Amino acid sequence: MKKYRCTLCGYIYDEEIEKVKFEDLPEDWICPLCGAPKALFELIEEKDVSISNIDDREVVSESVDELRTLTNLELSLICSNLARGCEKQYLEEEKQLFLELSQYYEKRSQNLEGTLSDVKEMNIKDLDYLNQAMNIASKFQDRGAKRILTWATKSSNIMKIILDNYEKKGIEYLKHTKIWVCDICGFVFVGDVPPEVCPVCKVPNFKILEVK
Amino acid sequence: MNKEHAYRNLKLCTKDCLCLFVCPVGATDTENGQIDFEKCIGCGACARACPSHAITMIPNEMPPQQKKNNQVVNSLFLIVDSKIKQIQKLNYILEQADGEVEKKFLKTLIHSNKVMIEDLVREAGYMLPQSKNTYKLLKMLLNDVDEAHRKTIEKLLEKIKVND
Ligand code: SF4
Ligand code: SF4
Ligand SMILES: [Zn+2]
Repeated sequence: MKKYRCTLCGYIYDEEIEKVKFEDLPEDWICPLCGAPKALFELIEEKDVSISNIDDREVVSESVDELRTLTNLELSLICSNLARGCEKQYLEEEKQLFLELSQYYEKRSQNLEGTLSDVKEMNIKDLDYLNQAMNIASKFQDRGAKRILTWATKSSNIMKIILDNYEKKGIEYLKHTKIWVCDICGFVFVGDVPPEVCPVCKVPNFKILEVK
Repeated sequence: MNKEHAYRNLKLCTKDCLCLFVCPVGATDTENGQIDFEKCIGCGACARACPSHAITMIPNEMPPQQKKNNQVVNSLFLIVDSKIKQIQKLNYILEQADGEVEKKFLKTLIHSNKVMIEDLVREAGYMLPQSKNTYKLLKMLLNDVDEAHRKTIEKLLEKIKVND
């Protein structure tokens, strides 16, 4: 008897309780808690927890001094992020100013010719980049970066599955259902009612917005 | 100097007026419903008394944001750049798309990528509007911007006090 864990929300599927082998569940079976597809479950390996030694803490000395060249869309999203920062500090006027800038740079941004399969390929590549960044963030014990990378990895994984489904089933996949995006972490949910809290970042679902 | 000041969330305030009795300086009683930030000495009495949890104490100055390691920043921007390109492509595909469902699908992907990018750039040195990083960015933006938005940037530079 094995146990499987949903890598999104942590729900445990225990074959002993369910009386159905995980492998025997249909392909379109989803996590009863958060709606994640079957592919996002991992086998729980029974192993001893070994004590890892966290001693050689590296001193973070390098700081970012030079400004990198940023594209218009990057500027737009840095500004909208700063607007969110202002909102958290109740700086209403500053928030609006940053939003104005964000819109201005978004308008200046140009589209790139491409297809959905390009996007799919890039999304898969992101998973490598994310993994690499996670290793670096761990090495420098950057807790904030690690948290965001964990979210982005999960949300990018979900995006991959959704792109796959769309490729396989086409428009039918989405025709009779709603689509939602978590405005905090980017988690995408296909279904009529989003989970009560976001399975990725745990925000209450009023922050999970329906795409219209 | 007081370190924080009270802020009233007007959406939550039920006008019970307990905060009016407890404030030692009368900063809670105003025309516009907001706390008088000039008067407020940051004692926190109103926040503790408010039955609707409508008052938050806000620090007057944010602590400086964490210094970021260059390698971490670079690795985060690698993801950002990729996701930016994906949005640019998705926007291109969106322009050609005509079906409602397809459009909705593309908008979903764009929105999701945008949120992830915002999170990533925040951790790549753009956490606080008050940071030196933000200040330098705004300064740089002055070099290439139209008149209207030059004003926007100047207003921001004037309003936001750099804290590191
Ligand atoms: S005590 Fe709270 S609810 Fe009552 S008036 Fe003051 S802020 Fe509003
Ligand atoms: S924090 Fe103190 S001084 Fe400021 S508004 Fe509240 S009760 Fe008045
Ligand atoms: Zn979320």
